[in-house]
Amino acid sequence: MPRSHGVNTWTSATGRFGRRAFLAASAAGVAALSGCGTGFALRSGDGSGSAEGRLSFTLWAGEAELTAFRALADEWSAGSGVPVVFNVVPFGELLTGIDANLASDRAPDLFRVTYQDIGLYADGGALLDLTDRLPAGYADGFTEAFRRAVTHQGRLYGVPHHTDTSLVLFDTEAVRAAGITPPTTLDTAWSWDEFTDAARRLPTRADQFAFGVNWQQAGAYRWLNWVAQRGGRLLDDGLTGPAVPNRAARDALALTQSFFDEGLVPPTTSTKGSYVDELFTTQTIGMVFAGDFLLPTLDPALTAQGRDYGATFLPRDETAAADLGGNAVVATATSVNAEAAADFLAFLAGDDAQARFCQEAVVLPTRTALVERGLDYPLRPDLMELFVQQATTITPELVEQVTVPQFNAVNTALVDRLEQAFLGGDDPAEVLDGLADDVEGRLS
Amino acid sequence: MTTPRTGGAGWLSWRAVALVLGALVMLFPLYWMLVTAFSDTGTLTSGPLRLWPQHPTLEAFRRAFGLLPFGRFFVNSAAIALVAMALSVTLNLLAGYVLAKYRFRGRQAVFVLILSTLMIPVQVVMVPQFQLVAGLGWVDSYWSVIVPRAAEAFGIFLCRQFMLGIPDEVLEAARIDGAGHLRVFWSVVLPMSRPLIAVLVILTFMYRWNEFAWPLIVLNDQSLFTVPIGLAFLQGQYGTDYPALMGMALLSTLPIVAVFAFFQRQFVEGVARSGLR
Amino acid sequence: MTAAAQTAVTTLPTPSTPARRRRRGAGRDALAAWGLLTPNLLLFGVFLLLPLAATFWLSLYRSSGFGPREFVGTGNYRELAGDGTFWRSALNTAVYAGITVPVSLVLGLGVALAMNRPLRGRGFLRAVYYLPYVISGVVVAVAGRYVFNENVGIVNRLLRAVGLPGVAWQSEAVPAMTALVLISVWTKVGFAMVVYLAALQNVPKEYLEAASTDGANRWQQLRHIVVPLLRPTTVFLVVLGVIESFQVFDVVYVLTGGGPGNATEMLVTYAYAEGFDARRQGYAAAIGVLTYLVVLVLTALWWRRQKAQEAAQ
Repeated sequence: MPRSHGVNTWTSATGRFGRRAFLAASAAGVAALSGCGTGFALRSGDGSGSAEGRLSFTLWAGEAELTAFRALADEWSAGSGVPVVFNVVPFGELLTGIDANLASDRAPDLFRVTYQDIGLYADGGALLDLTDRLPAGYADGFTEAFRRAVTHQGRLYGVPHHTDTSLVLFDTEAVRAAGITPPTTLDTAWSWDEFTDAARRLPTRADQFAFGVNWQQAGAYRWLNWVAQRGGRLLDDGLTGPAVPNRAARDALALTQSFFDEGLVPPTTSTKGSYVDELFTTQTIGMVFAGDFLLPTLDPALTAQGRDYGATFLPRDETAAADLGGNAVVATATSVNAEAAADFLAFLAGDDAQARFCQEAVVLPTRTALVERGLDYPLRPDLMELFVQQATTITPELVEQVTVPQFNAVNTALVDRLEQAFLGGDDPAEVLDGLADDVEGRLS
Repeated sequence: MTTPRTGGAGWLSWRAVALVLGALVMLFPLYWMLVTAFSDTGTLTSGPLRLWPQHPTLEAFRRAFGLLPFGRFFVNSAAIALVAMALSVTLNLLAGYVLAKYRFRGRQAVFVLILSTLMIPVQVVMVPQFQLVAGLGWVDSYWSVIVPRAAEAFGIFLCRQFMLGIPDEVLEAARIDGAGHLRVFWSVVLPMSRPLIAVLVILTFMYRWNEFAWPLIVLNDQSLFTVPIGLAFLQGQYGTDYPALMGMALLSTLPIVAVFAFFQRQFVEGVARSGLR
Repeated sequence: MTAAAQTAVTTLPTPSTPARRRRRGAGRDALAAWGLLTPNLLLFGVFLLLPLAATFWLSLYRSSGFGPREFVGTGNYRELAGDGTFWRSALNTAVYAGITVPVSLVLGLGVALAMNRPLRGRGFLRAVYYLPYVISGVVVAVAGRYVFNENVGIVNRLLRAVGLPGVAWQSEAVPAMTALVLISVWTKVGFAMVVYLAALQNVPKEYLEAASTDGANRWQQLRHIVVPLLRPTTVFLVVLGVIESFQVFDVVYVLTGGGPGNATEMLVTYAYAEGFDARRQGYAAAIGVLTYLVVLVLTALWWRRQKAQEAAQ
C-alpha cells in the first residue's frame, strides 16, 4: 500500500468517517438518549426494587420451577389485584445482586434463598419479620424441622417453600453389568462398606469413574451427611463452636478421602469442582448423588440417550442421614408492600399452592399435610417416593447446624478444607483441626 | 525494492505453512464451538470422537431463543454499545487532544492520574460503584451501564500518543486565523484523526459489547439484559446445555467480528499511527 | 519514496514546540485545557476515584456488605500479612503474568514478523489471529472450560484417541495453571500481533536492507536491529499485559474457581471470593487496595522510564 507524503496523509481518503458521518452518529445517539429505547428513559421505581403497587420477586429457577412460580403468582394476583414481577437471575449471581441491592436500599420485596443462607440475612436485619403477619396457626402447618429452619431468635423470617434431598441415582445397565443390586428399602440401604464394594465393581478407566458426590461449591454441606451417618456433628450442641475433631468426622473424612485416593470419583468432583450431575449424562460416572430437583433436567437427557436409570438410598452407618435441601422465600425488611408480601408468601407456601409447585417442579413439600398424604408426581413417581422416604432421615440436629446464621461462611470453610483433603491429600487430623479453627472464627 | 531472498510470497514457503498451521490452532476452539452448536446434546460428549456434527441441527439455537429473549438482548447490547461508544470516543478525543497539545501546569499529573485508573480491578470497586449509581437512581436504565465507564484511560492514552504527532504548525495556523479552541478541535484535529477514530470506535464498541460483570449487577430487569448476561443464564445450576451455550456464544461474537473485519485496515493503520511508544 | 520523506511522515512524537511561541496565550490555554478536560475528570472522579476512596475506607472495616460494620483500622491488612491464601494468590498472579505476557509477546512478534511481508490472504490470516481477542471474556471462559474439561473436553478426548492419557486440567495444580495460560495466550497473541505489525511498519526497510548487504543473516538482523527498535512497543505491551494479568478474573473463575486447592487462586478472584462468597467485604477491599498499589508501582516505574526516553530523543 503506497503511502503518500507530507501532511496530506492525515486527510487522506483512507477513512470512511467524514465529519458528516460523525454528526449523523451523534444525532442518532441523541435521539436514542431522549428515550426512544426503553432503557434510556430514567426509570426510578421500576425494575426490581421494592415499589408501590406491585411485588418484585428476585429468584433463580429452572424451566419447570419458573413456569410453576408464574402460574401461582398469576392466580394470586388475580385475587389480590397486585401484580408480581419476576426477576430471574443465575443461581451463582443471585446473592451478589441481593447484597448489592441491600447495600443501596434497592432490595426487592421478595427473594428466594436456601436454608443455609437465610440465617445470614435474618441476622443482618434484612428480612421482614413475618411472625405476626401470617395467619394464626399457619406456621404450625409446617414440619418442625422446616419451621425451625426459617426461625431466627424466636421470630419467623420466611416461609419454607419446599425441600429437596439427595439419592444415589444409577445407570441401570451399568449397575446390572457390574452385578450390583441396589437396595430398595430404607432399612436395607447400603452400609458404608457395602456401598464402597458396589462402587468398586463399576468399571473405571482413564475417562470413566464409579460415581460422583454432589458436594461441590454451595453443596459442600452435604459432606456432613456422612458425619451424621456415623453419629457425629460439626457444631457443638449450643451451636456456638466446633465439635470437630471427633471420631465420626475423622471416619467420614477417611472414607470420603478414600474415594479420591482409590480413583472411584473423578478428581474434578472435589468441593471446588464443577457440579457433578453433568458427568452422569455424559456417562463418565455410573452412579451419582443427586437432588430431586435435577430430575427435570436429567430425565430428558437420559431418555434421549435411551438410557434407563434408577435410584437407591444414601448409604447409612449408625443411622441414616440426608441433607437438608430446598429453599425458602423471604420478604425484605425494607419492602414497602409488607402486607401484600406476607399475604403472597402465605399463599405460596400454603397446602394447595405448595402441592402444585412441588409436583410440577419435582421437589418435596414442607407442609405436614402434604407429607402425610403424599403428592402425585408426573415425573418418575417411583423415584420421588424414594426421595420422600429419604427426606424423613433429615435429622433435626443436622438442620439446626446448617441453618445457623453464619453457615454461609462455614460452608465456604468446608469447601476449602475438604478440597485440601480430597485433592491435596492432606492429613485428616490436620484438615479437621483447620476446619475447627475456621468454624470457631466464623461463628464468633 | 529488492525481492525477498528467503521464502516466497506463495503458499509453499515455510513462513506461510507456519502461519497457516498457527491459524488452524487459533481457530480450533472456535471450530469446536461451532461443531457443538450444531450437534444435539446426546451425541456430543459420549460415543466415538467425531470432529464434525453427525446430524447437524439448529435445535440448540431454537432452544436458546426459546429459553430467553435473545433477540431483545441483542438489541439492548447494540443500543448500549453504540451510545457508549459515541460518548467514549468523544471524551477520549477531547482529553487526548488537550493532554497532547496544551501546556499547563499539572498536565503530567493529570495524565498519570488518568492512567492510574487502568489499574483498578473492577470487582473490587463494584459495590461502592453500585451504591453510587443506585443513589443517582440509575439502576435499571442504560445510563447505569453507559456513564460510569464512559471515561476510560486506554482510549485517552491512544489519543494522546496519536495527537502528539499532529504538527503544531497546523494548529498554530488555525489559531492565528482566529479559530477558538473547540473549532480547532472540530475542524482541524478531528479530520486528521480518522485512523485513530477507527481504532477507538472498534475497541470501544468491542469493550462495551463484551461487558459482563457490571451490567449484570446494575441491570435487574430482564428486558434490559445484554447478551453476555444471557449467556451466563445458559450455564445453569441445572446442567449446562452446551450446544445452546456455544451457539449463542458464537452468535454473540458475530457483530464484533463483522465490525473488525470491515474496518481491519483502518484499525491497523490507526494503531500504527498512534506511534505506540 | 525517499527515506527523508518517510522520516518526515513518521509518527515519532514530535517534541514540544519551543515554549517561547506559546507563552503569550499560556494562561488562556490553561483555562481552556482544564475546561475541555472537565467532562473526563468529572466522570473519573465521580465514578472511579470516589469508589476507589470508598474501597480504601471500607478496607479499614469489618463488614458483611449490609448490617452493622466494625472499625478495625489496619486489622485487615495485618490479617492479610499472615494469610497463606493471599500470598499464594499473589504468587499465582505473578507466575501467571510472568508466563502469559512474555509468551504472548514472543508469539505475537513472531506472527507479526511472518506477516510483515506480502502474502496472499494476509488480511484473512490477520483477522484469524486477532479473533480470540475480540471475543468477550465470558465466552472465552466458557469455551475454555468446555475445551479443557478434564472429563469430556475435546483436548483430553483427542489425547485419549491417540492413546495418550488425559491431562488433569482442573484437578492438578500445574496443568490447571497451564490451561489458564494457554487460554490467555490464545486471546492475547492477536493483540500483540497487531501492535507489533503496526510498529514494524515504522522500521525503515533501509536498516534491514543495509544489514542484509553486510552479510548479516536474518536471525542477527532480528536480534540486533529489529528487536531493539521495537523496544518501546515491547515495553508498552509488557506494562499493559501486566496490568491486565493482575486483573484476570473471568477465565479463572469459570475454569478452575481458583482450584485445585489454591493453585490457581488469583488476587482478584480471591478478593471476589472473600467479598461475595465469604462476605468479608472489608477484607476483600484490602486485597483490592494492595493489588491496585502493586500495579501502580509497576506502572510508575514504567512512566519514569518512558519520560527518560522521551527526554533522550
